[in-house]
Amino acid sequence: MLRFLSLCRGDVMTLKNLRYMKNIKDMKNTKCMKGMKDLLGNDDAVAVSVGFILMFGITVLVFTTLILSFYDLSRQSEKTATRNTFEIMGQRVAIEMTAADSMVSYINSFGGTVNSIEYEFTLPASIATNTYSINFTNSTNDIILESDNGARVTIPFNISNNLSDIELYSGAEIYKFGYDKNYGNINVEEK
Amino acid sequence: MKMVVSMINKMTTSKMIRNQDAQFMLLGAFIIAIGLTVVTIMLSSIIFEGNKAIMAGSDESKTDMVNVMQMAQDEIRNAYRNSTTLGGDDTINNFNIHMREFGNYMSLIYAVHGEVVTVTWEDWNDKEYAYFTDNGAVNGMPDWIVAENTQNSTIMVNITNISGPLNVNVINATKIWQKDFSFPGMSIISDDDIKANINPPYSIKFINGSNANGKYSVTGNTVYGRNFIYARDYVLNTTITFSNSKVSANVTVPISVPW
Repeated sequence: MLRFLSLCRGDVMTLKNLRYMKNIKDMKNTKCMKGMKDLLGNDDAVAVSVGFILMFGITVLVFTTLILSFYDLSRQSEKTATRNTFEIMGQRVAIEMTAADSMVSYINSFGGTVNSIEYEFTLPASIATNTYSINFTNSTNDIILESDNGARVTIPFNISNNLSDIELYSGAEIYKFGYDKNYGNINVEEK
Repeated sequence: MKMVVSMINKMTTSKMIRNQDAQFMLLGAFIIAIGLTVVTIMLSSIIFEGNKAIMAGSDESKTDMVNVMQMAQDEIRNAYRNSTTLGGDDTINNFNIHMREFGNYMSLIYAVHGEVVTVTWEDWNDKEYAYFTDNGAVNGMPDWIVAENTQNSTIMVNITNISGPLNVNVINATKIWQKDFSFPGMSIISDDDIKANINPPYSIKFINGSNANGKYSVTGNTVYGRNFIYARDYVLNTTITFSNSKVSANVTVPISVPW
């Protein structure tokens, strides 16, 4: 380094010198430039182990930063996706519940008796790799879907019969709406 | 020449393999690719759920079930009317033959749609006549309107058992004319009887229908010129089972005959 500095000192770039340097070749031939080239190509004081550690450390740091930033991004999109799926799924369940309810109501209005009725519906075991719960509440007429990642959606429904309150957990995948003729209740259970 | 080209190709390929530039760019591309895959899978699951929701809205099980009930009701009434009109000793047998054929055809027709339908019925052998309530059962609504906006009508009431008064009210906008029944037997209220006491259009209403059972018929036409027959002898319980891949139901429906 000292050698390089000493070489450059005697090779000060004055306007006068520049005037004589007609092309790039002249510039490259200066002592300073030659010294710089030597320094870049010089492998003295460079240990393989230190180089490896530095490269490894930098790689880990960059990789971790990238992964973390992308993880946050994917978490956000995962939550949004779960919420959207919940809304569609909840509305589907509400439609199917209404179908089962109107079937029961129609038979009752006919003066008939529903001996048994099973209206099957399916739900995925997990959404965006997260399990979830489905809460059917009669008091507020809501279906509340809540995921492990914090996504929560409430879907209202409207039926003429009473609904037995129940909280179900994903995993069973196949569920059914039934009718309890003794109490006149629509109930939900795993199949 | 060919050898030279292949050598150049080999050299370029080996150079590319050994080239270690842009490692972080590759790493970034790799992470983005994984992320895009995850997002795509999530989006496809949303689309899939959306499609399932549309399918739920267009599920035809409910209408199929209602159709079966309506058809069973119409056919039982037809079978009863046909067999009783023919008369003879085989009335019930003819009714059962008619219904058996109907049940078999229903099973066949719905099997084509992937649905299992069975219809079982009862005949009126050893069965009491219906009560004069709205649905014919003893616990049915005792006061109910049989016909509205009537221009001309003849009412026939044939009481089998009676535990209290049964009344038939004929009501127009300003007046109520009531006919009381307290004993078993058949009575006919003719159109002339009604018109002697009340002006059309009028409604015909049964009061205290749970006090008596028997048969009735009301025939006539409305102020709009439409003919009608309301009549009931029995209430026959019919059980319908319906099942497909989604719905399974077993219902019993009381069907009044002949209308």
